[in-house]
Amino acid sequence: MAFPRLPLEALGDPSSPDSSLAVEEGRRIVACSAAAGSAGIRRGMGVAAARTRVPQLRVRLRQPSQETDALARLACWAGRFTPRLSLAPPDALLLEVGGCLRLFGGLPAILDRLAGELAAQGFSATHAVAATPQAALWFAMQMPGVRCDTPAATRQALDHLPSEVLPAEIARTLHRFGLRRLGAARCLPRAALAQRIGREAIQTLARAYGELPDLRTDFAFPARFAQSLELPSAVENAGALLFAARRLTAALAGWLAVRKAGIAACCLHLRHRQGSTPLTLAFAGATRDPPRFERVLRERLQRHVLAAPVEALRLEAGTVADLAEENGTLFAQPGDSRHAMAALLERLRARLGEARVFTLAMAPDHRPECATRRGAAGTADVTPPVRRPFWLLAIPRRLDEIGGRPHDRGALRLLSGPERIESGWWDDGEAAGDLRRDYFIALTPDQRWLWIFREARLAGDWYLHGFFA
Amino acid sequence: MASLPDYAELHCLSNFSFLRGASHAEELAARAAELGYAALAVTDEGSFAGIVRAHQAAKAAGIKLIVGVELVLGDGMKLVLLAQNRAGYGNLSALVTLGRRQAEKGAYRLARQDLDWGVPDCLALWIPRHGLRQDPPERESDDARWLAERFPERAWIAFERLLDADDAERLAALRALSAASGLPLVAAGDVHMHVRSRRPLQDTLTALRLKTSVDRAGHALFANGERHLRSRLRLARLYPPDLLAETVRIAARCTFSLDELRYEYPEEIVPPGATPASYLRAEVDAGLQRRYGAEVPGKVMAQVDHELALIAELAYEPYFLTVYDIVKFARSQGILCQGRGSAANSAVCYALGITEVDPARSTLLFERFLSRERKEPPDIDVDFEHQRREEVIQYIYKKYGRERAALTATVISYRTRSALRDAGRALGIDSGRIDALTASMAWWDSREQWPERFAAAGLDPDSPRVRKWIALAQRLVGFPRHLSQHVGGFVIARDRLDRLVPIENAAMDGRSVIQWDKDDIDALGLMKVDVLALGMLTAIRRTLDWVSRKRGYPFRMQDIPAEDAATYAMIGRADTLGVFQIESRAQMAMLPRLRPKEFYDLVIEVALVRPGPIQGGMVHPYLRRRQGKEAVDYPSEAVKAVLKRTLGIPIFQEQAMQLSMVAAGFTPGEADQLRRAMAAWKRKGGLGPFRDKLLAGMAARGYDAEFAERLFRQIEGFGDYGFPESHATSFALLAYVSAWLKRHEPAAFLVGLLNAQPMGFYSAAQLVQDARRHGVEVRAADVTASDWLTTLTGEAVRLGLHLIAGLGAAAGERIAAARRAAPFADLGDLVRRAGLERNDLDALAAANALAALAGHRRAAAWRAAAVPVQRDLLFGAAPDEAVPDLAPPREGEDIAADYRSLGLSLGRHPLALLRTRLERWRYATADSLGTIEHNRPARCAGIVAGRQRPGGANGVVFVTLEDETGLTNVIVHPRLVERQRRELLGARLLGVLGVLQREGEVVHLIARRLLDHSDLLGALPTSSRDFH
Repeated sequence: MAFPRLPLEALGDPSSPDSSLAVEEGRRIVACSAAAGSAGIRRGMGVAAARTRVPQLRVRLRQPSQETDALARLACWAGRFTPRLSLAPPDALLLEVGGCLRLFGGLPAILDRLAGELAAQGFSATHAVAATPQAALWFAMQMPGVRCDTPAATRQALDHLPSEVLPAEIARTLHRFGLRRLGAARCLPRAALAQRIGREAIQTLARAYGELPDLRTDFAFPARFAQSLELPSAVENAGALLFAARRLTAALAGWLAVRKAGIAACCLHLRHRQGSTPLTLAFAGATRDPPRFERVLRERLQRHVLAAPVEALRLEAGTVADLAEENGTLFAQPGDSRHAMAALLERLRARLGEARVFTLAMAPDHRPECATRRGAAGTADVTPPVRRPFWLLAIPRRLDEIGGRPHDRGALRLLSGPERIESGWWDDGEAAGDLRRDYFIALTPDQRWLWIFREARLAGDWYLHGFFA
Repeated sequence: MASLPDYAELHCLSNFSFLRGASHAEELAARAAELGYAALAVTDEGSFAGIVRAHQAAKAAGIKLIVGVELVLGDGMKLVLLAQNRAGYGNLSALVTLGRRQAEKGAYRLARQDLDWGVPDCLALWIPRHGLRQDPPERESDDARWLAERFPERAWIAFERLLDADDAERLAALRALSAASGLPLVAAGDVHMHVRSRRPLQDTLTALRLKTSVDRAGHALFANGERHLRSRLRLARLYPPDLLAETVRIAARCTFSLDELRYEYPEEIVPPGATPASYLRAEVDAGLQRRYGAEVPGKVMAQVDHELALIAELAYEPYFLTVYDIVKFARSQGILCQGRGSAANSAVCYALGITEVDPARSTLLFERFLSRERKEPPDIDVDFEHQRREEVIQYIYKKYGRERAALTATVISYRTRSALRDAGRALGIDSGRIDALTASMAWWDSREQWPERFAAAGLDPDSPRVRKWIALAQRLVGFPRHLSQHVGGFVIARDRLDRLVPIENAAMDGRSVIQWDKDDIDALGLMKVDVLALGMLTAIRRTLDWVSRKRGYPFRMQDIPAEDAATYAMIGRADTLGVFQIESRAQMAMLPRLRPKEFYDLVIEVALVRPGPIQGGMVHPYLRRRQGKEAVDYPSEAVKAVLKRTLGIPIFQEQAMQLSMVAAGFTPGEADQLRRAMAAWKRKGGLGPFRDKLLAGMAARGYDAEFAERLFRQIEGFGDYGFPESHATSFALLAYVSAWLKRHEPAAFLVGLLNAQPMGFYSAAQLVQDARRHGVEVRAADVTASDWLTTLTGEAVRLGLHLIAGLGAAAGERIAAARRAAPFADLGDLVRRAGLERNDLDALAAANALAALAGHRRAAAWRAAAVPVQRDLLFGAAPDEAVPDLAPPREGEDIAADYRSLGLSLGRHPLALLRTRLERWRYATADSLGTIEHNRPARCAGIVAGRQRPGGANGVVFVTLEDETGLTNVIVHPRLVERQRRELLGARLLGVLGVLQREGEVVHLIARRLLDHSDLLGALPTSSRDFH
């Protein structure tokens, strides 16, 4: 099973297949969406050339580590079909299906199910069946859909494969001899050919033709299930996380199938730019049934209000139980909360809602409104780089001006200032906007220390913004 | 109201503090003058790159400029150093040079010890750090003591009040520090921009410098916009009066002006005992003897005397002698060279051998040669063979030393694309979107089309973010980004150059670059010699070598007969592929109309087919007059004298100048200013005053307004592109020489061109095809016959091994050497004696250069592949073992393989193989288009050999198609360009359905529809040369 669009699909962009999307590496296109493909974008094309063809093409940078992760996740997922499988990086999986055909009702049925579940996760795959793994791999990429279940049929089909299935350097050498198909190369004296294209290539061919055993390492399913998924862009709406989360639960289901186990709860961590939010998915009993995963997931996400945009997801399986076994506890053990503080926070969150418990942290911005942000509760942070009041009003309060002096229960005495703050011109209202203010520390007649500002324009108004004491 | 305090800004960065300063020097100077500042110090960080502009701007604005520099030492101490006088300036320049030479390109590094000598004649302002990064008091008092010792009575502590939270405490602390150290306090502004409203741009630059976006730059951005030139009223409120008064006292102690810089010529160009004047006279006399024998024409003699008198008056002898020395060196090494530029076509230069343009045959406008009023040195650019220019450069370094000679800089500035890219990046716009936008911008899109392009890239041009993007990018265009080295402008000084201008390391090893560019040098009147590279000179020299060898006697450029009728006949047919200058498509279109008959016609041709004259509307009137379709008339005798040689149409820059003098009463100096304005108005504007003066002057002399307006339009049209006649003459000479060689020695000429590649408009394949169409026999690259370079054997050209992709020169030379010793017996013999590696052999096999030893390409590849990648002692017989039965390649495969390896094929043209298919689609060959009548529909297909979009052609794109019979010129109108952009820019094999247009012998196909047939070419590599 090959995933020709893996560089694109691993990024997990749920946008419609009609949009023109491509992935580049070293200014060359390595994969593109179907729409882009039909507009003439090809693998290997320069980004600039591609843009000439499709000006609105969106191009993203290749993320090899995400591809590796995606392939491993797909391997986990495939555990639902066969425990015997191996990775063929960068973008293919080899599934040994001979032993499980009966279980799934024959080859066509199993292929249908594979295709259907992949589509739901947003992967497009090509597949082929052959008597040797190497041949299956080449067919999946070069002649998708081919089914050669006998060694003879496999050999015959291999003869027609173009030499490009071999590494580029070797294919070029074969081309120089005028050998464009594997069959032609196989006609030449083996030793003389080996001298020219190397022993390794000859052995690869022999393995494909079934003349040498092809020993592949089976995929090692991880002992613990904890997988992460980077999102293509920060997601601000919990509902939109479903598509991405589905990939994780599909992998979990496969992983559980191999262990013949189920879970009663798992934890989905929503990672923000700073900190993360854990979401517990609880089931009314151990399960590994994907529709149930999906149902709980959907429900949980719909109810949840995001504290901050989500940049990545992480799914951790809780305690694994044999499916037959009854699972007693619904939630994690109390011993897990190692600190009393953490326990308190957990309780507060449960009572008040997660978004309402947070810590103030410094943010590098000159604008007072933007100089703090809500961090994950329990994290300590730095002191401000300049003198700032402890208490900042959420919305500055306008002060009267009498006789040229600001008043707040009497005329204020300006102790220091002005400190001018002009910043945020790039901000179109996403945060505090474009500010221009002169700040002062002022003393009230009743000896309160205020932080006040005047808008830095002609006859600007006075405002109270914070209290020092 | 109390009067405003006097103030001088002593700490101000221009945008030559790259990615820091957010205003041009012009803006800063004008604003400082407007605010009534007593002086302005421009103190770019570690750089004088912007100081000449600042100097000019300050002069224009009428404000005193102080030359200074901001330096951050390795331990973080920040100083501003100001030059008091010429000596101080030299010391600063040397200090900056030291810092630059100690660091990699683009950076500087100075430690405290580097200032231990006290940098005499400079004043120092110390800017203590503050805020979170403030140094502890002990460290501050140590620093103060150190400074007071190094700069006794010349150091200050600067208080920069920028409306931070702690300004008051800070002033108190600095007062204490001042009292304790004895260093006085002074006010300064840390100016980064001329007005507060540049803050967004300044933030943008900061973000770019830190490679982030403005919303992520956080505290790296300045908290406010106080770092601008503030009004004196504001300053009076912000600073105590004593601190303001101190600025003026400091300014008064700095009296240096860049006007004091005096350039001094090197001395060693004159032999001992001679003066520059006597030596120049002697060399010119000797040169005249060589050129004319005993009978020097009277006209020439008079001109020489005139020129020498002016040269003596302006004391420019050393300049001519410096150029003469370099040219003499090149001659002694057999390196072909030719001078051009305003002064190059003088009789003196002809006598000295700097040019080959005979003054007896040309007319030189004297004011263009040298002008008394113009305080700038003469201008001579010398072109050298491009493959041997490095020898000349090394000679200069060796002769004058690296402390005295360096290349000038080129300022790389933001242009549309880079400005959009960086502004977008700073706004945090996703790089994919930026790419989408910049990629969709064709090289010709103008600023007015930006919104359209934004929309096409899926960006709403009216959204606030995109509006900011556009506004920032527009401001950024023209901002300097970094310094690079000029292609060949050398500055040579009599003494240490680093006391004149800081010298930096260049990207290229062993090169050093001064911090000033060509305009700076011009402005200060420094001498510069342009040592340039010209491919055609290489080609001509190599051709002449082969002609000499063939003829058995030395055949030099001056041996080429003048005014050869057969050569002009060939030029008149536009049969000029490979000829210098007149090979471009526009030139070729003009040649059959102009039909040059003599050398001067070529000079006109070269100057006429340029964007300037085309835009000024000179071409058609000139052609009509030449063809006798329009009467040649002159409004006056004076005008007739100027324009007679170009039939009443001004074609050369000099003519525009002369006209302004005779018809509008300009002085020679004003005429020269007009020329400079002509060259720069597109960039800077400023022709307006000349227009008024010109029209008024002409009206006063009785010329009718229409003639005057037309003349002005033509002058405007010259823009950047008008050629001076001297320049056109130099180029025309090379055009004539190369045309003569093409006509009379086509085989040697092909050899010369191929060995000088890459150069010119055409590929090696096109040059070879053209030569073969002219009956030149071209033989394939072959290890049993080829040398490394292409050679001439008898009348046939033998392609050299240098054309083979992937074969190194060393291996190629070894093959030729081994074969000269004895012919190769077999492949094994070749491998052994030429010491070839596997990859050499693969490259040779791919080029079919082993055919004589190893059979067809596939068989040769098979045998080559047997050689182990690492050579060992065991192989030898291996490549000669039996070859299995490999089918020989088909013709098409062979041709494609030829192109891949050699870039050309001696087999059939690829389109010949596709012809039956193309015929089925009723595509005509380039050849047969000639038989189609004017205004009839026609279709043609060919490999896209070039795309061109001349500035003056209103958006028309010219495409050159190539097929097996020749080239077809296609015109694509703007509407079609927009509609079929993809085919136009993407197709390698383009089909054009259109209408044939014929004017005399010139045939164009006007495209109505474009079809991309690239897939027919398969793997055939092609390349198109695209020009603006």
